[in-house]
Amino acid sequence: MTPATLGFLLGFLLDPPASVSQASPPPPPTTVASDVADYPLGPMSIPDLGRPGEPFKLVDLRYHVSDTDRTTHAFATRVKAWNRGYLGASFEGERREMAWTSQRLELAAAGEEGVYGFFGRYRAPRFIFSTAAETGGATEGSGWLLSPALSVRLSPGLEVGAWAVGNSRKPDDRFLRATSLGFLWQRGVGFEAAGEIGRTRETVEAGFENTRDRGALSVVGQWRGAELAGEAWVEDVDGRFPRREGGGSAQARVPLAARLLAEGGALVRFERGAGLRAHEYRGALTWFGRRVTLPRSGEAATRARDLAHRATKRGDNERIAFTEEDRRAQRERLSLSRGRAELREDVAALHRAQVEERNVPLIGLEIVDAEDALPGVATQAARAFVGVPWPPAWPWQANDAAVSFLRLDVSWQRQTSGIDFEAVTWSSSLSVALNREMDLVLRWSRADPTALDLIRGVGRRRTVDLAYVYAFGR
Amino acid sequence: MRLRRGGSHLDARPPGFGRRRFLRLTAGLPVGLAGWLGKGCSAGGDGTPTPTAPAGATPVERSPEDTPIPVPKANEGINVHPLRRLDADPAEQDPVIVPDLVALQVRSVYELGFDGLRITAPFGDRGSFLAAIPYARTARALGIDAVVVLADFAGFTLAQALHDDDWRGEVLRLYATVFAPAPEPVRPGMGGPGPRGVGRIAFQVLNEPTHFLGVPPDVYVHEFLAPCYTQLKAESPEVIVVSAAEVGNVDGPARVRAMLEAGLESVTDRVAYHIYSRAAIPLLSGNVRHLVWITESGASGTANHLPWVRDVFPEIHAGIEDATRIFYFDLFDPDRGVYRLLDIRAEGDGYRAVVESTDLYGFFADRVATAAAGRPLLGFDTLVPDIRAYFPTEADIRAYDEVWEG
Repeated sequence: MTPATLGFLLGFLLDPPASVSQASPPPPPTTVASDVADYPLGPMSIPDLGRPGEPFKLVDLRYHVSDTDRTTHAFATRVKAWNRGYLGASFEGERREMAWTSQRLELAAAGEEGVYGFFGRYRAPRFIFSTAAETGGATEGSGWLLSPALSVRLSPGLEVGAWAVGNSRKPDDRFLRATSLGFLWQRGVGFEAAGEIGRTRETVEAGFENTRDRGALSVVGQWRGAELAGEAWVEDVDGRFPRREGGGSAQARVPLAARLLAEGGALVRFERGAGLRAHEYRGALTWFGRRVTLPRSGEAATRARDLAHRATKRGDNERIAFTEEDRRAQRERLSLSRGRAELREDVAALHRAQVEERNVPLIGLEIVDAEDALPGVATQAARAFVGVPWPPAWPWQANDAAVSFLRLDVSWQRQTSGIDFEAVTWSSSLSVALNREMDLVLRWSRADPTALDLIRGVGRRRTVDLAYVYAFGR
Repeated sequence: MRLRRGGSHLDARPPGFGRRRFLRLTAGLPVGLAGWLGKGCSAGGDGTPTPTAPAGATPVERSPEDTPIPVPKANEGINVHPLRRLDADPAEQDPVIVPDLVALQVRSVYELGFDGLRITAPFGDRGSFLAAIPYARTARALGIDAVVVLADFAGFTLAQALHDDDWRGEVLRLYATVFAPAPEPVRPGMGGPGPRGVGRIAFQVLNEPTHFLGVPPDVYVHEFLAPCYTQLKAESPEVIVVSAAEVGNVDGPARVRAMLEAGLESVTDRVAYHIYSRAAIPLLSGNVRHLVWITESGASGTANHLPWVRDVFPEIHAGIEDATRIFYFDLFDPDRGVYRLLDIRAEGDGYRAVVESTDLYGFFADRVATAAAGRPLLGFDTLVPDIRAYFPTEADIRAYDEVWEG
């Protein structure tokens, strides 16, 4: 056993059951969270998102270049304009997009090779209305695909909604192509359920129409320190070739120790009469540099709930946000709200709690096994990573001041198609978190051709990606 | 190699079928007798009707009692491998095609009254490609439809050729040139639905493309079948284009459905399924806009052969209304006790076929006897005195080599 391995195991053993018990119930809210954390580029405090742009403040800057058989550049930027909203522009390859986001209104327009899309959303105190409109490509002819949606908030934790899709080209002489009804129920931070029933009419390439009736129910909840999630769906397809399909998924995230998280999940799809059509089984273990906190436990979750409910009572119509991206978007919206002064401390407290409960993954391993009978593809994958925190420390050393710094990911994937034809893809990436808002990522991959690639005359592909991300207020 | 004459070469006697009687029925008459005898001996349409209505029965009844007739096509199709030699020769330069082996298999197809023969002609394997030629030509000359599968046994050569816009035309022109022209019938009125009573030619574009090649169903339709259909119809409008089937277990129907939803029916003349599992039958029961050929169906294990054909074939016809023909898998392959009907062995300076699946063999032969209704039958050797007449010509070989080297 190498000294490093021995040290790792000792660290695991010496970081003991007391931590396990800490991981189970959510800790009581910390009244005073640290306002400053130290990063490689220096200490950072919680920014004041309520400050207006004068007149503009850069909040997003992203650049990505990918080089394989051709080179693709992507660039995105966003600025805060006074205290009125956020103006964004981006391009990726041939795609161009402009977007405006204010507290109640979102507008976006995009175009790519003659196809244009528009999006608008209005957030009222009790409802959210949105619609998307998209033109067709050269093969689809003139016309619009319209997707209006309406969500009505019945209580701080309950929304019901409906959406529809209309096609002005009227395939099969029918404008209305899809309709759906659904709900989202957030019972505090510990339980969330969502359901949807809907009907979709699709015209397949052969020219005939399938009517798909679908129902789905999903739940996610925190139970004794573990996060459990499940989904079930059933779909009846009526048309020339009717069938009934169903499926579901189950996932669990269980802290085995204060710094050790186990994750597992299964996803399956069935067809009546044909049995299991597809599956994906996944398991992962992750070792952290400080105590791990799940999104629905801890102070940040509690504060996210309180903030959402308070904002909703004020007419801002916000649901509880559990992901970093959702919370950042919510912070930005609320920083534009008329009542931003009253919400300012709640917004900052949530942000502080997020920083305080940051997860610093150091070592991880994930195994995936998947198969889909339709394309006849089976996939096995293994992913591993090792990270170095800031300030640098050995993985077995717990450090409450640690933040993510360096991370090296290596992944291997074997895809089997045809008669045992295997295509292996290796990829690795090196990520550098310069501070909470700034990342550099260098990625390399080498993908063997699949059977179909070989038939199409496509050989082995090597890809190099370089990305820079700046995200103010993350 | 001496070509055996006379007799059926089948030395195992299936129960329920009198070999003596069969030999009597096939006691050869001179070629050229009464062409009308064979008229209408096949279904004349699209495959043999179901076992309850043997195709050959009606015309046979009109024949004089003592006039030999071609073996009535009382059974449906069968899969045949392009066997050309039993002994591998690593130093082989020009492919050796042993006439006895070709004759042995085609004789069995004829004597058992099959109305269709399905054989793979792999572009990527010169020997097997050339070997498929005499099988298809002889069968057609006997009034038996030939379904030539455009597929390789291994590798991606043909799939790459069919996908490549420049190469596809040459390769399909080769297939059309070599296989599409109708041969002269062995005698007038063999009852095949093709010109002058010969069997028709059908090209099946790839075999189980998702299973063998990793080609997804929609990709198959758009990037393989559609361009091949256009090209084949331009080369030889009389050719029947058959879409590829997918695996015969419950994985297959969803793939076939995906092909149909991707527009398969507009770029094929026949829709093909494979059925090796009863559970697949109800999943394939939806009506399609063409006739359906079950280009492979069978059961693993010799003891299961007869129950499969006797019980499941009618189930397939009942469950899939559009199915007009089922090709049994298979006549011969190297694996003992799995699917094959016959074994083929070297014996002395020749070869002989040994019936391995005796119950099924007897079942097929009984139906022939029933359809013949006691009429004497024209023997294979009478109709095909020298199978080398159907072997690849210099022009065939040159055409192949030009495309291969090009």
